[in-house]
Amino acid sequence: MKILGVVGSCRRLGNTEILVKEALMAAQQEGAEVDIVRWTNYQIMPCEGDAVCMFLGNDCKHKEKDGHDYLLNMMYEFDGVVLGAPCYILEVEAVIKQFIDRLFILSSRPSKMIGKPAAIIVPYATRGWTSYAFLQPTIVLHFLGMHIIDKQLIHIQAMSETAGDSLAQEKARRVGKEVAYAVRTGDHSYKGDPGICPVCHERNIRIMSDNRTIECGICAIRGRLSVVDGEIRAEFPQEQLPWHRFAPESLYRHSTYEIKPSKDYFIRKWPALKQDRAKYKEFLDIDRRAGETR
Amino acid sequence: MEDLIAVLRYFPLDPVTNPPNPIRQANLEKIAIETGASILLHTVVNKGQTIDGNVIREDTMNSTIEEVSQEAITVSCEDETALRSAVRELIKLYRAPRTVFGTWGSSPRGREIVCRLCDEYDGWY
Repeated sequence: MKILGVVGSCRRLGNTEILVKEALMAAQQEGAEVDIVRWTNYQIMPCEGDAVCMFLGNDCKHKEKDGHDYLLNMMYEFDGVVLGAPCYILEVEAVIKQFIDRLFILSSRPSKMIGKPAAIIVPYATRGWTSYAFLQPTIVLHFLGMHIIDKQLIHIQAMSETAGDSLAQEKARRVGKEVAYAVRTGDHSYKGDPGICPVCHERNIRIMSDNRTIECGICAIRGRLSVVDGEIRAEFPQEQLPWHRFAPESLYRHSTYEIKPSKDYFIRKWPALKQDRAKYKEFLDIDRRAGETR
Repeated sequence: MEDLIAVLRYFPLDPVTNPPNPIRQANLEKIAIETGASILLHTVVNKGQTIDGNVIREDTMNSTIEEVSQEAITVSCEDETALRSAVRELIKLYRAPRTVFGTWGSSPRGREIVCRLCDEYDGWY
């Protein structure tokens, strides 16, 4: 039983690192072999969106130039993950988003994390500034096919303050034990705040432009809102649940019918587009400052 | 006068609403009568298609857009108003085509009309 702690924070021995380590200590006591990695120690270059990795079945063009492939393969060695990242301005650090965008590679090389358990720890400082704190961590883990079994927001202010905060440590330890238990038993039931969405347990519900339908923006399941005895209820039909955005069949459908046919589309459009775009090449040289450094 | 042709391509499970709402010839005929537009349904089964449980499997990366399994609805007429009415009803019933290439085969003006109506009436984005 191997559990990896992923730290999405630049700060050395900051609250995220401490909390993930606390979770790993607890997992270790449950018999897990543990290790830790700080994603921000590695360069993760932006995805260029040309889908060459999918269309040509190649590895990512950045594979040898940065750490994304290395970090992804490292994760594949483990049976469970504790992902920690600090919430700054409503969301966690950008390294998580950088990692997500490069997961386009999964279209030609499927994830090896499918069905493995994971949990999320997000330290934050100010109540009310965490609206999207779990958004990117949830997306990255779901996109990899993992089962998220808990999410913990941990309220903390000073640098490294969690080192002396027993409540914060207790929450982190619980997460570590839960992931170890999930790996050991195969019981991946969700232990955190049930939230609104029955799939991802988030509370970020969109009201669609028909002003009748609601959608979980992460999972894309749709339902209705009602108010019963003054209480807001969100109801999602049971038949929607298996078709959430990150379900294997949904990802297959997205890749098969919404992405891959675009190869033919690009090929047919390209001769005309080459001519159409010429005037934009002539208008202002956007890269003229590329050699400058700040 | 330019031909007004709007093609709306729905790939497997695209026209899913809640509850699921498969494309039916009878619905298209009703819209055609009400709007005066000609509406044709063309069902494509990719020659390499296989069925795995409830899911269609096929290689779409090496297929042309027209070869991919789909239901392609072609709306045509000389009158823009009728075309708009028909496309609007189709979008309400089946959502907008999900992709840019979902309008492939439309005439330039037909495609422009479809795109504007999708932005306006597709309550699912």
